[in-house]
Amino acid sequence: MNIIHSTKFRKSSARWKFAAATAVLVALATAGCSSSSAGTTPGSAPTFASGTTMARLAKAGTMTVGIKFDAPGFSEKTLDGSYQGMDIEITNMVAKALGIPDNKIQYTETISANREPFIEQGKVDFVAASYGIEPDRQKVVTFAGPYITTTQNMLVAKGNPEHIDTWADVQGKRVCAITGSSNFQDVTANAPTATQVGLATDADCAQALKNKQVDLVAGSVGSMSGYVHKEPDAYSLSPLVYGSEPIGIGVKKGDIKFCQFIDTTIQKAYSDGQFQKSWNKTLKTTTGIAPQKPNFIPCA
Amino acid sequence: MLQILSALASGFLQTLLLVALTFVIGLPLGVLVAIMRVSPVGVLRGVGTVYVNVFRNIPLPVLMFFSVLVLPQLGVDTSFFVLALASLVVYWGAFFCETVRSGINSVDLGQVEAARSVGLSSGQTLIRIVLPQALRSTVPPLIGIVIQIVRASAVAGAFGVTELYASMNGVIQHNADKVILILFLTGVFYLVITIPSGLLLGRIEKKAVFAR
Repeated sequence: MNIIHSTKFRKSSARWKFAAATAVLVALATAGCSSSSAGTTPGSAPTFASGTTMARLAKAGTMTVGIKFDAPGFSEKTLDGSYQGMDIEITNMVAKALGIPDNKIQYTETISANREPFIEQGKVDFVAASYGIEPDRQKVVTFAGPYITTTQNMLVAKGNPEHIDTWADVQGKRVCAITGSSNFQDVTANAPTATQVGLATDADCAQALKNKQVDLVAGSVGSMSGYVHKEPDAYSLSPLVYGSEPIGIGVKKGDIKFCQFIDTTIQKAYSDGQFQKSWNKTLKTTTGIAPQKPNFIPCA
Repeated sequence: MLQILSALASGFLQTLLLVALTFVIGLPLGVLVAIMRVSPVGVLRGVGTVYVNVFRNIPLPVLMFFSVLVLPQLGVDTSFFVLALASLVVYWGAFFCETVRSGINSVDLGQVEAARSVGLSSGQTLIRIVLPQALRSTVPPLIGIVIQIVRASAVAGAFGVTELYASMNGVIQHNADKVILILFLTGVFYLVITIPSGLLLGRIEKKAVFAR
């Protein structure tokens, strides 16, 4: 071992020691900063009973929410990457009540096939994805809300040329709806001779209606009236209305406290007008429906 | 439970029909285009090349969207099944063409030289000497393509054909408490198509293999 080598070694080990010491100091300083800033947050830092989901989320300072990326008015991801819709507005209300800033909310896309598994596995903290409350879903998910009750409507060509006014008129016609949607069960039950066509989105169905490939489109009132709103010269709504589906927020089965917390948050927002403001910004713009007073079901 | 199985079964039959028809129509189409691509006639070669390069590079959902929702605007009036099938046939025809063409290219040049020296025309050489040998060597890649067709058929579910994937989605909507079971059953149904096809083509391959 020659002297030059050992000198270099000493110098480099000194450099490493200096670097390590600096790193430790920086870490301590920033740790000190963050804990002190939590204590001096201006405004009320909400506190919750320990062991509740609210306490866990408030402490974590972030939450993961399952939404739809393509349900205009409810929850959609826009072309520039931002999220908008009534479900997003409600998510923001809940986040505010928990003391979580808007930019700390993580959005995950949930579709029919993964909604319930994601809630059960805790991959999302709750689901706000124009989520219909149905008995078989209530077996595995606890629902907060509902905050809107939607009906299912039929979109027809302008002026309703085929005079589709009742289920009897639907017999033998070609009905379009989203692939796999529950509308098909209703059609099978009420108009068994109708031809059922499943397309990817409501937009495709509306296009097929324009192309005269189908005679009517069955879907939720939100979507259907949205098309009449956008193109009143091409579409009309049939007087046939069916199904009443309450739309709520899904949380882990049995998490009653969190469910009640969400209900209280929505109720408060309704009392101080924030709920109606959010509604007018989202659902009213896309569908023309006026704000409805929330009619909560008991958390179970 | 019975309702779930019957819904999945009817979707299964649609998928089977789509896959079978795509194969039965697409393979001859692919052979035809491959013949065009190796023919001495320049125009045919050009058309074949354009066809393959265009349809291999457009994603299938885009092609199907055009076929199912745009063609009717241009006056094509037929069922959703036929429109979806048309896009599948045209898309997979390009892949079949390339597979067959690589088979043709793998036939030893000596075969062609011998055929021409015996007096066969280029058309006769192709049909009687080259193609039978070429098709034998394309059987292994065909298995892979058939499996891809089965998976690609799920796209048709979003375009008016209630095949297996679309049926699965419909069943899940009203059986949210049985999601895992339904996904498992759907997987089984897909395997019922892919495994026997693989075995069948494997049998054909064994019969067709020859010493090189």
